[in-house]
Amino acid sequence: MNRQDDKLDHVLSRWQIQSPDTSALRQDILSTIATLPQEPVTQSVWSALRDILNIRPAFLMAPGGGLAAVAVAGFVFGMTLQAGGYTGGEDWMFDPVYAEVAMATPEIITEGYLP
Amino acid sequence: MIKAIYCEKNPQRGMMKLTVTYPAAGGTEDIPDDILMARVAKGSQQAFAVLLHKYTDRYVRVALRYVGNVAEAEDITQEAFIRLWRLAPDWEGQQGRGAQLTTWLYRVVVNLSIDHLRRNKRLVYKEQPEQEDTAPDASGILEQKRQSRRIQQAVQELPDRQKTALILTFYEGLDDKQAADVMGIGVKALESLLVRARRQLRETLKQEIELLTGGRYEQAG
Repeated sequence: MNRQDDKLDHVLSRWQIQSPDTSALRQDILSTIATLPQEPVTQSVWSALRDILNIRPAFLMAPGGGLAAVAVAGFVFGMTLQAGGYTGGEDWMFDPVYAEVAMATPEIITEGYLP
Repeated sequence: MIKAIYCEKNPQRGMMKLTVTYPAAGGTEDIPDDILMARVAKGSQQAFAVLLHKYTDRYVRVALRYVGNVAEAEDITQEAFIRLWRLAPDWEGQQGRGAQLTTWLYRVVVNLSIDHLRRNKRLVYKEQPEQEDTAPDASGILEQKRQSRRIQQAVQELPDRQKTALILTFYEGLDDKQAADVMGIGVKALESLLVRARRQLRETLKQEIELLTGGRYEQAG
């Protein structure tokens, strides 16, 4: 800490706050809770995961975190297509000629050949 | 409330000796928070009253730094303690994740205070006309009040995160790690916030610093 900080600290320390008498507040709180049931807090799946993995929202908002999230989402989406989520089990995604044939016919194609 | 129970064997009589100690009057503040919370979790209002006695003043003071009004600071503190009461049965789970009571309360009070300021579109500072006082040192007291208000306003004008970093570390005396935990950020990020807060305050409180140093103050780079 340099001298400038010392001077600033000295000025900041002049903001004094008188602690108010909180005895009435304590009584108010106690009388409020006397009529208030305690309820176990239910935790969402997301917040449970966040606590377990110690992920902070800032991680996802940061550029690196956002890119990583997009990469993961793209990978999952691509694998879903590959696994047949949209094609009925057929692997045509990376073969444009085959994809054209497949989309042009209502027939179910197996093993890349028309029946 | 029983503070401790000691059990020892008396070799001469071959008997067990039981010693029960009670805390001295006002000694309830020595009871660790986790023990108190365990009792609160079972519905003990006495244990909750001890927590209130320990911490109410501290958190009213924190809220007061934000909202500048005793009644509103008390409302915020009341809301925080009511939340604590409601979630007490689940506190063991919170403890398992390393949550400390004081850290948790700081976090709730700070967030409630910032929400309150956002809802009320920040504090509007009005220059109150000072009342005439004929006491010998009245002018000195008035000047102190004015200075305190200017400092309060300068701190209030900081962005929320910088303000919170400053209030927790400077006015509440938390170390960087504790303050970072309250804010849910890393220590480096907290230090960065403090550097920016101090830079802005050196600018806005330039006049006060010059008065203090007799006009020899130079802005640090």
